[in-house]
Amino acid sequence: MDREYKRMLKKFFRNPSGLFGFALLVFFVLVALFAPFIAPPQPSNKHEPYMMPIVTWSSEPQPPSKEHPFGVCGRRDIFYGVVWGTRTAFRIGLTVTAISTLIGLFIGSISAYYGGWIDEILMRITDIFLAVPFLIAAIVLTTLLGTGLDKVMIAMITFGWMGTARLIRGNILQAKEEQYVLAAKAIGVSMPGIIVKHLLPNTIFPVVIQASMRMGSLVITAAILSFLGLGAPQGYSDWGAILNYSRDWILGAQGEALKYWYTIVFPGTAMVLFVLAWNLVGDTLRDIFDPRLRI
Amino acid sequence: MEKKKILEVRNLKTYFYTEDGVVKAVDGVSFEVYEGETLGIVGESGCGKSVTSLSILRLLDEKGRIEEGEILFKGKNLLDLSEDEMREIRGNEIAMIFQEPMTALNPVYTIGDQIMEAIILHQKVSEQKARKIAIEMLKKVGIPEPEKRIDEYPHELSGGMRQRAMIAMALSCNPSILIADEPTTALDVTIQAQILELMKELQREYGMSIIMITHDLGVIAEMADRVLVMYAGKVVEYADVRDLFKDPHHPYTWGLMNSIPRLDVEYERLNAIPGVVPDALHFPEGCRFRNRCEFATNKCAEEPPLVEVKANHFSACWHIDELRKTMKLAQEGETA
Amino acid sequence: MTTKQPILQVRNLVKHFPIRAGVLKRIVAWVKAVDGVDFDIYEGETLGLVGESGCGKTTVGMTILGLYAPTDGSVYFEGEDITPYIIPRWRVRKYILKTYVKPFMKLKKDKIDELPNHMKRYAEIFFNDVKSNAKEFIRMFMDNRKDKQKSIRRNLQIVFQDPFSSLNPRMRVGNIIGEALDVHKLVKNREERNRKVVEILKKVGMFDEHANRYPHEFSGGQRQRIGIARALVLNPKLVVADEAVSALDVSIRSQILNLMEDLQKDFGLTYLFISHDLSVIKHISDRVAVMYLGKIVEIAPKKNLFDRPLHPYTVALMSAIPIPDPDYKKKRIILKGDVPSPINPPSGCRFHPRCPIAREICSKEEPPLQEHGANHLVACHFPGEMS
Repeated sequence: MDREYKRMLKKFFRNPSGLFGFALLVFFVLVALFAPFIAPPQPSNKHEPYMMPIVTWSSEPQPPSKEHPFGVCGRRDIFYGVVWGTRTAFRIGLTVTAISTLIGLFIGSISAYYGGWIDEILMRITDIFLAVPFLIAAIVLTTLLGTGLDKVMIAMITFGWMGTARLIRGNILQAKEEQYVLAAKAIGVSMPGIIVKHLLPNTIFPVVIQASMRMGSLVITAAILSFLGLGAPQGYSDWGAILNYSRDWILGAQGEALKYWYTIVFPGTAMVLFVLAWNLVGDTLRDIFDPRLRI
Repeated sequence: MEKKKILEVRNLKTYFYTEDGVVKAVDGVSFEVYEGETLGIVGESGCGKSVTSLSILRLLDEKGRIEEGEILFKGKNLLDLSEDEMREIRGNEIAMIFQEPMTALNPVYTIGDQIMEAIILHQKVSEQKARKIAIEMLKKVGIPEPEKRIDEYPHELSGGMRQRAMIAMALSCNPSILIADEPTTALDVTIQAQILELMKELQREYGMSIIMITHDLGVIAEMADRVLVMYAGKVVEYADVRDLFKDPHHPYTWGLMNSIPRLDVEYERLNAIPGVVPDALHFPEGCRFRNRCEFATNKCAEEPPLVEVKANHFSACWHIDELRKTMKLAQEGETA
Repeated sequence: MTTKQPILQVRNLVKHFPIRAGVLKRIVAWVKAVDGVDFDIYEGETLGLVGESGCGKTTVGMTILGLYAPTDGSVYFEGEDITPYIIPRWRVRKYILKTYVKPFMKLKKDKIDELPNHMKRYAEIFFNDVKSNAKEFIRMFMDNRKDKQKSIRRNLQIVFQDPFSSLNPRMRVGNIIGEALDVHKLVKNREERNRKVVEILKKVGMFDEHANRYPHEFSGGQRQRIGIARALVLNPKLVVADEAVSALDVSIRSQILNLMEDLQKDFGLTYLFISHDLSVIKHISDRVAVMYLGKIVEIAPKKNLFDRPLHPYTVALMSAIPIPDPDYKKKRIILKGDVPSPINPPSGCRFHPRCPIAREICSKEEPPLQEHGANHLVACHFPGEMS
């Protein structure tokens, strides 16, 4: 497969939108890695660098300036929040995607491999989870567990695995018919062996693609929950939370609708670019595996 | 009586431009089809037999291009026609049936709809008239209860019935040439026998020419009047069917005939052709069969021309004499 | 034939597949893929199993291997009933009761010698070893289940039809072949494993460097060689070849057929060769069984079958094969209609709606598979009438 991988890489980097998405992603990774250098924490928040430092006592937002290049909102430096918020975005995206994908893989592959009533029960459970409107469920769950970023993540994992489960189930059902699976059974390979060695390697790519696409949208979902006040606490470096403070200023001032534009534009742009990066990468991956593995 | 040429393909070259390189799928193929006869094209996968037929109808995908050659149908070159003019030819003058009728028929329309579409398109008749013709055609191809079956969907028919429906659709406009690309490969032998019989009957009735593409020498022997043997994009032998089977003049043809197990002959051991069918991206230089050929010499690095070795029998090989000696010895060994 | 021992005996083998529909996935019908099949395979021979698509020939192969659990009937391998190990655990008790305990209870002890060989062995165990204790007798079949299953896997192997779908595209050839060795713990270390893999690769006409490549780097014929190597690396006694050459090009097909014949001699293999192609079957088999719609209609040594086919279906099948000789003139029998659905097979003889010589009795009574001449079994009310 080494040759195959090289070919895929070549294809990936020949695709301009894929390359752009990849470059954006690299940029975000660098920002997240070097956050302490790009926006060093103040002495006041040294012990909790994720809290945006309070830089002024006036509650009115302040436009971008030399010290605060993205302006100030809710007494806090937006630039600092956007930079450190990159870390939050990755944390939410990676954790939720990884855990919910694993849950989905587990449920989906068991369901598909065994079939029969096991499949029936697991898929009905999946249907129930799918039938619950996500936002309402998340609100209920956070009222039960309390607010906070970790609670939001739990809610997103709880209601985020079904897509993967269904996708992998469908793919495995298809792959199960391949003769190499039968051949493995004829040799005497055990059930976990067949799933891990034969079925998953041949069905996982669409899941990876789906996961990369979801990574971006998860950040939006987290932002919505933060915007509703369920997510990150006041002052936490989270793009959604920054938008939450700017809520009061969205309408601008009397006669100047765009007066506080910077409270929305900087965190908003960061979010849009982040989602775009993942989608472009996911799209390109899908094109490379096309047409056999189209989602 | 001199037979009339209806189709003449001259030096056809169809190449495919893939990411990995140029695939010379058909590389200088010439043949002609006479009125009312059946020309068999035989060869293994990747020899270019299907691409040849798709080139005639100009149905190649975007990667394929006809580089060179002429396809003269009733005297006019199909390669010079516009797409509109070509549409008039397809289905109407030259029709085609495929190996897997399930994928060639559209699953969301009834077979009646699909047959009538072709009739209305080419014959410009009313819908009722078209339906009548369609039922008539279904009856002709041996589909029982055609009045009922016409409103059924492809998945409701068995494989054999679907192939019959395909044939009905192909013949509904009374074409001069029917191209049949492995029409029975996906079918069971008893059903294959039915379909082959049907095709012969319909040919007698309609007098169309058939181009029969297959990998099965048995089907060729049964159906064809003349045969084109293809290997790796080239014609290696071209002859009368009887002459080809009795007196093959190319090592590949001879090897192929000896390598198949037969119902009428008992072999202790099959004479396998060694090696693998060459990859279309890396055909050998010169004679493309040479790395599998027992007669190959240095001479074979040069491409052998297709020459007339006896009346109406063409072969492309440098070592026909050696081949014939060996064949003679083998024959004597058999009789002794 | 008398000196040879049957290596595999199949008795009244039945495999029905449920068709489910609706929300509750209730069973609405059964596909009677295999519906009561009996045959023996003798050590070292090749039994050809021929029939058209949907006749159940592949299902027979899969069921013998235990890849499908039989609905009913028994499979004996080297005289041992392997059915309890290929059906689910919860069915074993019922199976043993039905197949052995109940018949034995009714049996007088001195009648043991009249039983057929495969039953006699178990009758002796039942009466002598466990002293008619049914519980203990059943436990005997429950013990060592995993080991027994593994030994079945080692002794019975399969070569598949499709050289493209039968090899895992994400595994190297060495691992595809070596996996079986790992599963059965037949090798102690990597070196031994590699040595064995290379050894078998050479046996099937490939080279040692091929072990490091992926399946897509090979042609159809080479892939089929890899598939054969995977089956043979465990040193099985019986190999089921399920349409093993059908997907290959004509010129490659003969290579693989020759290879399989050579390997049979080398390894002392027994083949069950399943194919729809009568010419291939004729070439490779010693005996041939013809299947139609879930039943065996005729079974005989090759020469008898091809010289004097007795069942009208066999006759029609033979006449339907196009002969690669334009001068070969023969009377062709064209069967009318299609193969009926195995969900609702016709009454009586299943072939009667398509049979040119069918009479009234054929639609009413099912003809049993009976001997008609030496070793020539046929299931027809009017055998030989059509030849």
